[in-house]
Amino acid sequence: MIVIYSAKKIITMNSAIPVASYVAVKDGKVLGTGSLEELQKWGEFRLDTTFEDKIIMPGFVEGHAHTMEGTLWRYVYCGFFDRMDPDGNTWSGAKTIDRVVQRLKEAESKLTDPDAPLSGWQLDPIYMDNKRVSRKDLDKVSSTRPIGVLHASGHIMNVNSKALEIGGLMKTGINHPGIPLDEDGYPTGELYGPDAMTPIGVHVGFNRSMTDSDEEGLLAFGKLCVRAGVTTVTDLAARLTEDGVDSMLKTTNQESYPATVVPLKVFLGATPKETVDLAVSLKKKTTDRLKLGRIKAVADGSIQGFSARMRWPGYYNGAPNGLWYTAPEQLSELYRLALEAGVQVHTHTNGDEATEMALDMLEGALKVNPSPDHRFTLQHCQLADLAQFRRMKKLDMCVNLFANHHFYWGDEHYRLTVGPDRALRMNACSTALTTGVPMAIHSDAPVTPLGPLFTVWCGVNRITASGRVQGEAEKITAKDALYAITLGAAYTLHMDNEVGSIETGKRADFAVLEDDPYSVAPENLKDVKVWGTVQGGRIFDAKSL
Amino acid sequence: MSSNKGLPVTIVTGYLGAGKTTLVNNALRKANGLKLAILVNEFGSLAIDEDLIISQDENMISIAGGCVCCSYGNDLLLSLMELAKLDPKPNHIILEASGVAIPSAIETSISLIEECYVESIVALVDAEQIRDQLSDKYVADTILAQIQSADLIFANKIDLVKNLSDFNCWASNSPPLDSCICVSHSNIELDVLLGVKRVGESNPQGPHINEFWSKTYIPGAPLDPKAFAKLLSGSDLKLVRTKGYVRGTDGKTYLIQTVGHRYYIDLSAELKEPGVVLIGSKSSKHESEVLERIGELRKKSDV
Repeated sequence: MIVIYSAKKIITMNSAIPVASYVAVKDGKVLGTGSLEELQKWGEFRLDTTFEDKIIMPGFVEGHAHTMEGTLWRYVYCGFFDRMDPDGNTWSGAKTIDRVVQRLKEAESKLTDPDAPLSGWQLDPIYMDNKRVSRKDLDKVSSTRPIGVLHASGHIMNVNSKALEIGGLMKTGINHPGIPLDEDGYPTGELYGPDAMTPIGVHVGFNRSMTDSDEEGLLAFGKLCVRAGVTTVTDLAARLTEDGVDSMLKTTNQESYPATVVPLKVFLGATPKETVDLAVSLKKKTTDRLKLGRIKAVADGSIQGFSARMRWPGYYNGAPNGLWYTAPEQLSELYRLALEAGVQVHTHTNGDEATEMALDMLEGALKVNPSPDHRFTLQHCQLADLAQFRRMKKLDMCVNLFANHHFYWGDEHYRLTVGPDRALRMNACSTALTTGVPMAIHSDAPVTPLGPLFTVWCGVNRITASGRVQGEAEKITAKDALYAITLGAAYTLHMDNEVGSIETGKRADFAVLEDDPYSVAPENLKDVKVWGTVQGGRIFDAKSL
Repeated sequence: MSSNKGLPVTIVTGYLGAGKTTLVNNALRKANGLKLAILVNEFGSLAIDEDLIISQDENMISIAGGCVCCSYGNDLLLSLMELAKLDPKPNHIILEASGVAIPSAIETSISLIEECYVESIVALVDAEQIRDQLSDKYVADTILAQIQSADLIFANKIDLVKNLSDFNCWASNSPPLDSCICVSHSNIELDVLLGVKRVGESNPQGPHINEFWSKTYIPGAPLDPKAFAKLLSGSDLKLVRTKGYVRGTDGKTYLIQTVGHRYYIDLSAELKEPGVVLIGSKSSKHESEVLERIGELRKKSDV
């Protein structure tokens, strides 16, 4: 059965017919776009006018997110900015520590089991004049129940006295850089880095399988996708245990699952060969809505955590250089084996030394296994300079830049981590386009909220949280940014043949919008409302999820 | 410093190719009744020699002689806590750190849990490669940090070094490698790797070890255990490890242990005959020289 949808405007990203009024869909695929007269020749059809006053774009492709955001919404939202949950309720940002405490209290009063932990997420005191949260603040919520609140960065956690007590850390004499002490000699309750967080985290609801999306989490994440106009989404560092894969297959195969999920197997705890072999065998399990067989490697840490690997002159505040998460030789072997097996690798590099290292390793691996069209992608790649982008181009690499980061932490980078010069060129979208490196831009949800139109706004305006424009020269046009969240991101996943534009033969994936992002003022791009999506020809109205 | 009550952990650090995996497998072959738990970053067919494996599931490899091997991925502390809960409890944990991990950071983390304590940090370097590695643009600082935080540094694969005197000359001018001990094939006796057996415990293999010498030192009169432990762990003697009992000036018996510059002192519940086993490296200082020097140092510093 052919369905022809009418719309106020259909932006196709297909240069042959850039704009149309009708799109015909059959078997979940696009039959064609054009006028009703042109399309009706395909045969018997039903005209659907649901989108008559809407703007249709290709469904958005989020090239770097983590489905665990769906799981996190089970916990109390403690973020500074307003954020919409999977059910469409917007949680207002908690602007003060008192407000965070009050919100936790409200949640605490609803818990029936007196021993159950209370968990919160997305706290970010840097916006609250950098006032430190202490265990005493959280003790006001409860002194008998363990409480833990994860920060937005994911690298810091605040806990109460009870949690410290259960974890055996409510004592004096601790000497650990990740555990600051109060004047009384006891920990303040701030825990920095996974080593300090893990022993307490398990007692406050944050455990090792948290990054695996269970059915409930993945369903919740699917709803977030619909609300953001996303029809294809990556899960960029999945453990992909056997059970995890089975669960993801089962959930995404449900007839009502609204997105195609692309999980990348994280290169951790296994040898390069085992990882590549696993990716090859997982590829065979690929379905329409779960695309398996890609690898994610992590070269270094984060810039705001001072664990990113930096070239000279290093951090602006003099912090020592960061850490390698993967040794150069391991990355080189992974690249070589993956190229040989035809498996794609995406690599997290934050600092410019990490980017340089990944470029060197891929250059070497490509000499051993020349592979046209490998599309190995650097993820985040926040500090790359022009020369590095030129090398990416020469090596046929893609890049996925962290445009959202610029808004949330740009001021910190300017002031503290990398200093003005390099902060201005961070996430250099314009340089990527000028040098011809295929580019996507991303949210890294849950680090920042899933919302490609917000990401577009970030790339176009480069405004930081304090309202400054940072890096005028790296601004890109709305047209380029909208391409980056559709075909651009699809290209980095080798999926530009399936999604990213509305044209004959491609999956019928649409973002259905209330306004036209091509005609709104650049500063209003983030306010373009999303009605919902069409995914594989199935309609998902955000209001009735 | 007193050793805690938890399980002793030896952190084995070193860059890729230094011989960590071989070291671990050697230790398993020599375990001889000791229940070792091995924690590795990479859990795969390569971690443990196949002939040692009895069975394997997703989380653990069971090894001949009651030993086990687990991987820790990014949850080191959780894995250590789980190992400490095993029944029967392991006697010792060997933690094979990843090639880019900084062991001092691992030690601080382990200090957070009561189940375990770091007994020593042992670094392996590839003697043939280390000079190049220490000038590598990406990993030089990482490797330097690894060996700087080690109690014992083994220059492994020394048999592959073509000009040994040249290497020795370079190493002796490149601290902290000036105190490195040369070995081949990661061949390090368990006594050296994990701590010497106490006086009175049987040692079926005899006291003599490949590149090492071992000797029991009897301190005549009671002494200050801390000052003595400091003396034994000082750079002057170049001792690898020591362990044994001394009588304190307060009349109590103390167990002292040293490994490189690290030392532990614990009050002993029982009254024991004083005697400390010393292990030294043949390539640095011979036993007669060491014994003589201990006498001189004790006299000089009135210990």
